[in-house]
Amino acid sequence: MPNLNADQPVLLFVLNAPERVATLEQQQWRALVCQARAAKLLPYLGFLLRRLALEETIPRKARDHIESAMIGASSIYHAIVWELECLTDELRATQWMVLKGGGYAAVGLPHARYRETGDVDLLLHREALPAAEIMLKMQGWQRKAMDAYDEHYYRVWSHEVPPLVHPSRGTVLDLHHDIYPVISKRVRCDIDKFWLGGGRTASGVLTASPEDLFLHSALHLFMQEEFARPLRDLVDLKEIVEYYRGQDPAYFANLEARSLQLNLGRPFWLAARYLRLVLGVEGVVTDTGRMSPLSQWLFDWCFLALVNELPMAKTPSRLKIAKLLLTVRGHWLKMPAGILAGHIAHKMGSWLRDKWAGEAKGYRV
Amino acid sequence: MLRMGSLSSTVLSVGPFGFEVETDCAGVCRSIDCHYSNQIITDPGFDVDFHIAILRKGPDELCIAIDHAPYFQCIPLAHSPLSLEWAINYAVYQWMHRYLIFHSAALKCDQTLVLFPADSGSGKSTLSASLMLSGWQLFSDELAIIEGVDAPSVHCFAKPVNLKNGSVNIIADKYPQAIFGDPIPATDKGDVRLLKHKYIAENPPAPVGGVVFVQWCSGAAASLVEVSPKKAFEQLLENAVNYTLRREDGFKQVCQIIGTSKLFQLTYSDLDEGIALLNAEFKR
Repeated sequence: MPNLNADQPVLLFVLNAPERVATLEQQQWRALVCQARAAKLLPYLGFLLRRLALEETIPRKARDHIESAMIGASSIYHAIVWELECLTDELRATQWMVLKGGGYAAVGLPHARYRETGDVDLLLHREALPAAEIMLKMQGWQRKAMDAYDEHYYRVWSHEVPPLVHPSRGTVLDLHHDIYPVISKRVRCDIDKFWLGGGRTASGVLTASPEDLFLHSALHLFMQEEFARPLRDLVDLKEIVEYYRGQDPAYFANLEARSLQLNLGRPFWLAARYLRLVLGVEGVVTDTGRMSPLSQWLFDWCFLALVNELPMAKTPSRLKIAKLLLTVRGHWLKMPAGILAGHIAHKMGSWLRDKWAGEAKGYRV
Repeated sequence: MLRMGSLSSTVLSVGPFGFEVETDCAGVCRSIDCHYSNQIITDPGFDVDFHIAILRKGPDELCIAIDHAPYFQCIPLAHSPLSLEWAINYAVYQWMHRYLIFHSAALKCDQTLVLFPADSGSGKSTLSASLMLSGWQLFSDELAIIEGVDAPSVHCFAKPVNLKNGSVNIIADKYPQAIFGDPIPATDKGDVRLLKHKYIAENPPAPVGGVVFVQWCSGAAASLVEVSPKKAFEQLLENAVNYTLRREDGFKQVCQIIGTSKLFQLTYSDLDEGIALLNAEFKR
């Protein structure tokens, strides 16, 4: 068994081969808990070790933290299941599909019970959105405060409308009418085909097909400008592929075919590549959507820096550069050049205004 | 700003948790010396739960990072003793859901542990300071940390008592033996001072024997009135931190606590009268 290098994140070491936890020393357990919490994977770590009957190897302190995180995530899971029941009632006049974290819970992916899902994301037909928004507001949902520019960004360029908040349930609801910004010229997914793939769960909630669940997750991870929790998103992809592959050995081949239908070959290829490279998933080799060698080298350089990020006070230069490059790439993918130039100018302007006005002071007790 | 060598690192044992506190702020160091001198761990094999960094940022501000991630920014330097208390409390109530947590004081009189769940401004801290200085054992002033579902017991979470405004002089005048940290001016809750707690090395978790809801009321004659289990249940939940999140286990724990406890409402304006009533009820 390979040993842990000093500069290798212990979290990646364990995610690649969980049985290695048996070799960890006290300080490494402490680092593992820290890294997993920062990556939003602490409850998943507990789930993974439980699934492999490795719980006994966890020392008491680490077990306190892991168990606590599992309690927290499990309450989020139950809140989401309850939220979907409420929405089934509140949006009964509209067709909607639950996406991302809510979707993983709805289709019963085992790891969804131990995932720190934030917002609930729904896909609606564009023409049904205005009525649905009114319907939700009549039932108590409220709009988050937002300036005119952001409102315009959402309404005209984005693929979702400004988020709604439920004052008593505390849920933040994102309503999408597409799975990618509609103004993008470089990524065009056929949303009608995406709708047609959907199916209903036993409780009547519409979710994406097993293949589309993976492809949407890959699109969301790899074709954005923000890579907030790349490792958590990669773990989602791993769980999806392993769950459905267990049910249907042809799943990965179907994924490949479906990625071509939906025009999502590139995110599919990137997902398969990093599942292999980062998490050691086997049997996910494809040529569909392959990058040129130079782009591949550059993307490796950026993405691997991100997944190797350690919680520390100072961000290393390589990480800063990687994040900047990925942000530029994400914006380039999403926005045509003209709009992008205007968007950058606007964001720079408000950044400078904030800088001059002095950063908002205040802290919480 | 940060001079090498000026950074100090101390490991503290606070209740069931361990904290490695790293700071370059003299106010934090003084607070540790004053309040936590008995809880400093020198054993290098001690397992900590959280790393807390309280670092100076600019001439008059502090920032707090927990496990190397920034959480609180722009804290006035004058609030440095409180910043350590905030960081410890925050880490516990944000991440330690294995424990049921209430906004509550917890003190033990002879063999009975009593919870005093209350909001700030209710006179809870003044009362727990007085009780501590009149012989009760302080388990906690702000957060009651409870472990166990079938037989819940409260951990001693030994931290200083946070006294606000007029309470500081009341306690200082009444109990000359009281030891205070540096004055902390102009916080959200006014002028504050931390009162040194009595630390007892061997203080195992104790089951709850009483729940007392406290209300300070100017001019009122002191009264200790029994409360119905239903009312106590509701009032206890108003002070819950992670009750809903713990789902069935949280419910079972609160049922157990209500079931095994004497339940009271204490209304008082004079501290001595209030303490006399509590002693009469709980002292053996």
